[in-house]
Amino acid sequence: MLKTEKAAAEQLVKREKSTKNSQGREVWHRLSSRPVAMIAFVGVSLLILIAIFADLIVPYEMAIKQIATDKLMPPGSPGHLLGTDNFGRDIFARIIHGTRTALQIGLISAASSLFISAILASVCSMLGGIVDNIIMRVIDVISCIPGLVVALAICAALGNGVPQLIVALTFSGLPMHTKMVRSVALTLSKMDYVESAVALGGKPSYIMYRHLFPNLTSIMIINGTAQVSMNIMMGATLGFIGLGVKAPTPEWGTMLASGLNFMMRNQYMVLVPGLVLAISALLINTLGDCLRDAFDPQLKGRA
Amino acid sequence: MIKYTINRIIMVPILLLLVAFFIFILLNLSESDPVVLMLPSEYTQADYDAMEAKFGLDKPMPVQYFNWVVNFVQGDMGTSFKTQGPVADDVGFRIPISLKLAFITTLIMVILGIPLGVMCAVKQYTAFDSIVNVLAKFLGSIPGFWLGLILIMTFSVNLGWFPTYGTGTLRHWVLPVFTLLLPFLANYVRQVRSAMLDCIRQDYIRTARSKGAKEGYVIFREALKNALLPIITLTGGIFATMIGGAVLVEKVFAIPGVGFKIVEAINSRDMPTLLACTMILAIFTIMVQLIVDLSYALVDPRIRSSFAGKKKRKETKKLKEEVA
Amino acid sequence: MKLRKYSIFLALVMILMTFAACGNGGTDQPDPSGTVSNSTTGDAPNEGTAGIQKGTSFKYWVNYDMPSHMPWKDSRGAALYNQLYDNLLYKYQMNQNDIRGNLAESWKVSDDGMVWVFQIKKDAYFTSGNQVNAEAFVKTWDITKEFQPRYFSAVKSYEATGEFELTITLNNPSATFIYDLPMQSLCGVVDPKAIEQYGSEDNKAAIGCGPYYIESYTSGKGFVLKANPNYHNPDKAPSIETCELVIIPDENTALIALMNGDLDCLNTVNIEVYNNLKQKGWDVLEVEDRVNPFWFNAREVEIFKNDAVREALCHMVDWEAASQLVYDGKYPASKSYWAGPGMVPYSDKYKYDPQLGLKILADAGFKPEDIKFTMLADPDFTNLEIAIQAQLNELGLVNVKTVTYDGATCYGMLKGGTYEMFPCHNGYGVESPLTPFSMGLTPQSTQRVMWLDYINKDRYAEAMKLYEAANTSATNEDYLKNVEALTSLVQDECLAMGGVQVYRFYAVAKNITGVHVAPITGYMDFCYLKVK
Repeated sequence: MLKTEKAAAEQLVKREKSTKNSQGREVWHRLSSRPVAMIAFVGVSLLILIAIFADLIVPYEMAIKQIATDKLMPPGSPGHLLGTDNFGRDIFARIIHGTRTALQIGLISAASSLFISAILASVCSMLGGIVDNIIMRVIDVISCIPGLVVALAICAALGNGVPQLIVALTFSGLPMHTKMVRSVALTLSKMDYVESAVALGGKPSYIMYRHLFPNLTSIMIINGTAQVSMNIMMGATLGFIGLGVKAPTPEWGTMLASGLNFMMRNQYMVLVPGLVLAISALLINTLGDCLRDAFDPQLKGRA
Repeated sequence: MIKYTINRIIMVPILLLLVAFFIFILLNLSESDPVVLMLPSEYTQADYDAMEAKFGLDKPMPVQYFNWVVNFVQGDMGTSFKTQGPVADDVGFRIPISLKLAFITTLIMVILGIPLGVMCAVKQYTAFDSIVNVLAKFLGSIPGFWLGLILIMTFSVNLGWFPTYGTGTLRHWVLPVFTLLLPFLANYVRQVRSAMLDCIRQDYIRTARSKGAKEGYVIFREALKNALLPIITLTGGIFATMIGGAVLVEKVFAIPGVGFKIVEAINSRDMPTLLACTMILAIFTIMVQLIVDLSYALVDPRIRSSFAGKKKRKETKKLKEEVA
Repeated sequence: MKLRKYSIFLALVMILMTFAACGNGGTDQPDPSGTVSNSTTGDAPNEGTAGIQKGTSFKYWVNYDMPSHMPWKDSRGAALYNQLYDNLLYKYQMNQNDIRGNLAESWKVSDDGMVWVFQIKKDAYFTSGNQVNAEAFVKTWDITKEFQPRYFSAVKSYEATGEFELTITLNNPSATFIYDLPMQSLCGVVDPKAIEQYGSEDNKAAIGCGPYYIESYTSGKGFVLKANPNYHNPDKAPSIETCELVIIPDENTALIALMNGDLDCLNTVNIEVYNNLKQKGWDVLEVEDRVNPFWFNAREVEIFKNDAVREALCHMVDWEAASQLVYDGKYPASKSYWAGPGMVPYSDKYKYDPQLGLKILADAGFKPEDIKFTMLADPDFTNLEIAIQAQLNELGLVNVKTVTYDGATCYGMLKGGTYEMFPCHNGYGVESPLTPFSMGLTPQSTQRVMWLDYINKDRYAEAMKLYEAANTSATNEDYLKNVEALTSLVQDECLAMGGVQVYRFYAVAKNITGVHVAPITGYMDFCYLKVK
């Protein structure tokens, strides 16, 4: 008992010492107190590490090397941990390097759509009036079309490839985020400290940077994590339709889609990327939920 | 209320015009020239001009846009680049099919989702809540095309309960509906749960409980009634998404719906068909939003009063001016 | 921790479900008894008119829609047109050497081989009840000529010389005319009264006198065809009452549907579908399909105008290895651009020797990364192209890419000539080895793949001269000799990389007999089918 009190006191002192980034610490503290959150956090960190160090784990060469004699091998075959696909390519290597593609697609598109939506929302809430109206009408227009269809149309206009996919997914996530972030930004801009900053003659860009952005981070991180898994899934869907990444780039969705043809001869071609996709999305979603709880303890447990 | 309704209805065509404009711009981004795609490999400039004129592509973009709008209002969706026949013939019959799929799925989603969500909210942090939560997240993480094939393999091939493809009888709809439903249901249950939790924590619930009202009464009469507003919005949104978002389900189960037509149109660079399909989706999305907003206004007196207030404010302003 | 446990449990459930779904798929499959007759040898012929078997049905898979039902609009609709429209002549049980009169009762050829006179049956009626006469042919052909002038390149004129007498005059005596005549697109006769009433574009005018007629069509879903009770030709009389063309866009679904008994026939060039069917004990009919040379489009890609580049690329692909990898050697590497008559084996220019290829490139002043093009693939050949791309990439040609579009789009791009490289058989038929040239070489060609005029004008003139000579050759020997000369000219110019010999697989439900499939084109006539 005494020990924990002491620890708590120490923590309190520590927290007071750190004037900067206090919210981050607070969040981390709450996050680390929940085992589920930690599992999700470790899982997602592992995914990111795999994506970064993919080349160290297994050379890219292995992921695209076609070996006719090693076709459709089951997991556990010598030299192929998870077996091989219909071209004799190592599934393990493709999964590892696919992580990189998937996270590239998921993270960059989610981050950029959040960033753009934060700027738009801040501009809307700061300037109001006509600017707000115009931006929101444009957003309304895009939100009238289902996100998948927006992504499809953009992919069709720009062609296949990872950068094109990122642009398409960025765009398709934009309306939802802008609406959400704007409503938060509007509440923020009515806060006393923002109004006083305006009264003191602060430039809109300064107020945006100094007051609005930092306070939007939490909602952006929460929405962002959910968007990452959604975008990975949508990337896989586009791959199935044939608008995904170019062959032979390893990507989970395309691997899954091409494996369907071989479902009866080697179910692992479907099973492995499918499970990896599902588990990654599960981890990222869980982390998102836990982050939401951590950022706003009042909301704890609500979806 | 009437003014609010009129206001919202006036917005519909304006929004639609903008949607059409947006798609026009997007389609003009594409590098490939549709005229070249339609012509044989060896053509003269005269052939090119004739083909261009036939589809009205020789005019500048704003004029094309204007013509398209005028025709669309008259019910002419244009001529398909691919079949060179009227787009309406190819798209019209798909609308009821897509609507049916979306409608059945939404209905089942509501029937299953609301009780499950309420249960989760009531039994927060119990095993039931956790199971539903994890199941929801897991099902939401499985790509639809894979799920569809697993369902076909299990229920059509191994068990023989349902046909593998098509849209004939009610039995045909079971597998597609569930393939479409499962990922959405996951999200839906979680949202219902959070809407319910929001309500359960309100003061009036606490008051009702402290007054000694029965738990069932509190949950269903008080909390659920108030949670319905966000749930209606959510349901409307999902219904609108399903009309066009069922692309994969339509492909796997060979259902001729609007969503799959969009993929076909994109693949064959058939812009008029793509435009028509997207417009149909946009119309439905806007209609659903309109209905949701109006029902909101009907249910929520605050929205009504804000409009009444404006009117009254104007009247008093006028009176003041007259006095002055 | 609870959450973690549940997720592991769920993962296990999913794994089990998939195993169950994959593993036990075929326990209740039909037993593999020999049900499918060979395409060319044929089974017992139809003994007289057995009559229509009431209540029988047959479901045939197609993966694309056929929005136009008129025979002149789109050659992709052949699966439908073959059942609806009848010709002057036909190939009995799809056998190309057994040409018999269909709507023509008898025919005479003038001594110089230029004038053909056909006597038309007097007891043939369209499904609308109107009688078939010579005038109907003239009217149909007038429209067909407008849409597909290529089919009439050998025909000088045609006219109705009597109510039931049709005279065709050729430009030159042609050895292949008798083989071209049964081709659906040239002679499938449509009710002229229906055309008058509805116009040549309206599907309501799709009234023929074939063994089947359209009972209903649902766009996106398919066709229901009914047997024609008043069909004129007893040798081709339909047995199965209802035939359906079912559109299923996803091949995996189609395969499962066939195994589940929801489909009666599936035809595919997808080797994995074949493997799956074999594994489940199905009897699969294998029909030699096309060779698919990978054509260089010299109009779209500047470097392809260079002879050295094309020759180097021909040396650089190991087709045997690609065939082993993608098709388990089931589709052998091709020996020539075409199979069958008119074939000329590849010269040394096609020998696999990557180092020589690299040397030729270097001598011509190209670095491997200068070779930049995108191979267009329809879904059937995506895997082959990925294998070839990997081979070329490994040799340092890192800018070779692949892009896949659905079949209809590829066809559109082929027609417009807007592709860089495309594997395509281009209309080859055993009986008409010249067709690839009329479809791919001539200025009027509809599927242009031989861009010789962009590479070398003189050689192109030479090729066109040979083409004309083949078109007008009086005897079959002359004709074949000219086709061979033309083939070796084209092969010598390396207008395409080699390819593989494709086979088409037909799996038919075990209660169906009388399957006859035309080699190469893969067309199937429903009228010979019977339910056991």
